[in-house]
Amino acid sequence: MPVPGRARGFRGGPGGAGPGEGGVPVPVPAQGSPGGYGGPGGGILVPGEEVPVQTRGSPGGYGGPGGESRSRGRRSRSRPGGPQGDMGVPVPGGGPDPGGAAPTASHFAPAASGSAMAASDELRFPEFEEAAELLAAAPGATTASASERPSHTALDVGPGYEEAEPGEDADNAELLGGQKQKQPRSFWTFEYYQAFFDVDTHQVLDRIKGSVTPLPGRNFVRHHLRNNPDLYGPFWICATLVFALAISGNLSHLPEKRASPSFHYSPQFHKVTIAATVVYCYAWLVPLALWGYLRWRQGSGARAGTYSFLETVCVYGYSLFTYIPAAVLWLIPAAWLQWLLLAVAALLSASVLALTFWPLVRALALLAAVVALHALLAVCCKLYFFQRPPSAGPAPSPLHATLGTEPHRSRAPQHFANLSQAASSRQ
Amino acid sequence: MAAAEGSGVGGAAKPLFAGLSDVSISEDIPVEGEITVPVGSQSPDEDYSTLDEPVRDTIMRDLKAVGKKFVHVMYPKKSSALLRDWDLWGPLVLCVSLALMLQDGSADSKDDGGPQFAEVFVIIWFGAVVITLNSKLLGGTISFFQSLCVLGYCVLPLTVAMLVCRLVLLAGSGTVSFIVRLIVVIAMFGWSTLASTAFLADSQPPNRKALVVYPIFLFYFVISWMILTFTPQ
Repeated sequence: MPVPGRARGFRGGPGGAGPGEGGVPVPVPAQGSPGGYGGPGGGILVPGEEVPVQTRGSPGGYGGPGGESRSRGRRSRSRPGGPQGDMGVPVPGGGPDPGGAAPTASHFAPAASGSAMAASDELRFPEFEEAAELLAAAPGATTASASERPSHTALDVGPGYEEAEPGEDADNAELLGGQKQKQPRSFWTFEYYQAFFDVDTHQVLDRIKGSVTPLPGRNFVRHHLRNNPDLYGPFWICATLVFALAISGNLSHLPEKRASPSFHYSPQFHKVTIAATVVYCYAWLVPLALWGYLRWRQGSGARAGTYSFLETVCVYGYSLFTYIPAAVLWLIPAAWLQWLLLAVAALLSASVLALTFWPLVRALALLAAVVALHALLAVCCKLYFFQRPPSAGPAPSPLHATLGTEPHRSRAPQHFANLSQAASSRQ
Repeated sequence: MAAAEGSGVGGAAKPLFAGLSDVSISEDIPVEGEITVPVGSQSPDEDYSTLDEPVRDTIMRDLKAVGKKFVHVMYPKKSSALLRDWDLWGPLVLCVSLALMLQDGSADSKDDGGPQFAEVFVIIWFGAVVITLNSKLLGGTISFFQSLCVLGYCVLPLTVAMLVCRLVLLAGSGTVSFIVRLIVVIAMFGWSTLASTAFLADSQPPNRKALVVYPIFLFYFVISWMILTFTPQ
C-alpha cells in the first residue's frame, strides 16, 4: 500500500493538527487503500476520489479523532472510522470545525467504526491496516454508509448548523470561497438572515461606487455582488432616501416663508410616511415582479440564467443611491438645475439596471419598461415632495393640481390663484 | 499504561492517606448536621427586608439606578455599568417626555403638523429595534436589550435640547432664536451619537464598525430634525 508512505508526505503526518487535507487529491481507489484519512495522523489523504470535501477543522484529520470532532452532530462521520475516504479534502485549519466535512464525503468514507478509531491514539498507524481490512472486507459498507448519510444529514441539520454541503460535484471554487457556502437553514432562524448581512464596510462602499458608475463591461451582479448579495445596502439606502426626500422637500419650502409672511412653516411630518411607503414598495415590489417575470420566462424555456431574488433586490436597492444626492441638491431653487439633476441621476441608475439585466433579457421592451419605471419614480418624487406650497394655506396641494400647473410654476403669481382655488375646493 | 499511571498516582498519594482504609465510623460519632452554602449574600434576609422596607426606598433604588445611567450618558466613559445592568425605565421616561414636548407642533391641519405622539414613540422604539437587529445581524456581540437600553438612554441629550428649544421659543421665534436652537441641537446630536457609539462600537467586528455607526447617526439625525423643526402654534 502506498498510502502509509504517502501519508508521510502530506501535511499533518502523525497527529497532523488541523489541516488533514490530503492536500493533493490522490486518485486512489477507495477500496483497498488504507484510508488516507488522517485518522490518527490527520492530514492523510483519503484514498478515494479526490473529492474536494470541506473537512474543515477536523483536528487530526478525518478518521478517528477527526471524525469525532467533526461529527458535531454528525454521527455518521464517526461511524466509518477507518479510512475516511471522504477526506479527500484539504482541511483549512484544524480548529474545531463547526461545519465539519461535507456529508457527501461519506461517499468515500468506507464504513468503518469511526468511534472505535476515534478513541485510538493518534500516533497509531495500524489503523490503516484495520481500515484496509474493513474496506476490503465490507466494500458494501461504503454504500451503506453513503445511503445512511442523507438520513443522518437530515437529522443533523438544525439551526445554527453551518456546515457546508457541497455535492459530490462540488468544484474547487467552493473550497476556496467555500467559507460562504452554507447549508440552507430554516427560514425561522436568526442565522438564516445573518447570511444576508455578511458584508464589510469596504464592500458596501465598493458596491455603492459601482452603482453610480455604469461601465459597459461591468455587470453589477456579477462584478460587485459576486454571489454575496446583502440586504444591508438596500435597506439603509432606502431609509436614507426616505428621510432625504422628506427633509429636503420640507426645507425647499423655506424660501416661501421669506417671500410671503403669511406663509406658515410646517414640518409636514406625514410626508415621511408617504415617502417610506413609496420608496420601500418600489424597492421591493418591482424587483419581485421582475424576478417573477424572469423566472417565468426561464421556466418556459426562453433563456437560461436568472438572478436570485436577493440579487435583484440588491441591484435595485443600490441603484437608488444616486437619488440621495439628487434629493439633497434639489434644494437649490433653480428649476432647470433640478430637472438636469433628475435627468442625470435617473440616467445613471437606470443604466446600471439596464447593464445588469441586458445579458439576461435581450428584449428592448423589458429594458425600456425597467428604465421608464425608474425614471417615473424620480419624477414623481420630485413633483410631490418639492412642490411649492400654496401661499394661501398651509395644506399641500393635491398632486393632480400640482401636475396641472407644473409647467407654469415659474410664472408664479397668477397661478397661485389656481392652487388656492384647488386647495379650497379640496377643503 | 493506565494501570501503571494509576498505581503511580496511588503510590504517590499513599503516604498522605495511609490508614484511611482502616477508618470506620462508629455509631457514636454524630455524622449528621447541616450543610449550608452561602448563596449570594443573605438573600433570604434581603427578600424579607425588601418586602418590609418603605415604598420610598424601593422607588429610590430604581431611581438612583436610572440616575446613575443618566450620568454615564452625559459623561460617556467606557464603563460597563450601562451595559451590565440594563433597564428600560430611563428610555421610556425620555421617550414619553420627548413625545409630550413635541406635541402641539404647528397643527394647523391635522395632517400637516409635526409628528404626533404616536409617531415619535414609534420612531424611537422601532428605530432602536431596527438598529439593534442590524448590529446583531452584522455580527455584534451585544445583547438585544442592552443595545435598546443604550440607544434609549442616549436620547437624553436630545431631550435636554428639546427642553432648551422650548424655553428659547418662549422668548421669541426669530432668526436669533433659530440660530441658538440650531447650535444647541447640533451639539446635542453630536453628543448623543458619540455617547452611543462609545458604548456600542466595541461590541462590533472591527471591519464593520462604520456599517453599525451609520444607522445610529441616521436615527439621532431624524430625532434632531424633529426637534429643530418644532414650531409651536
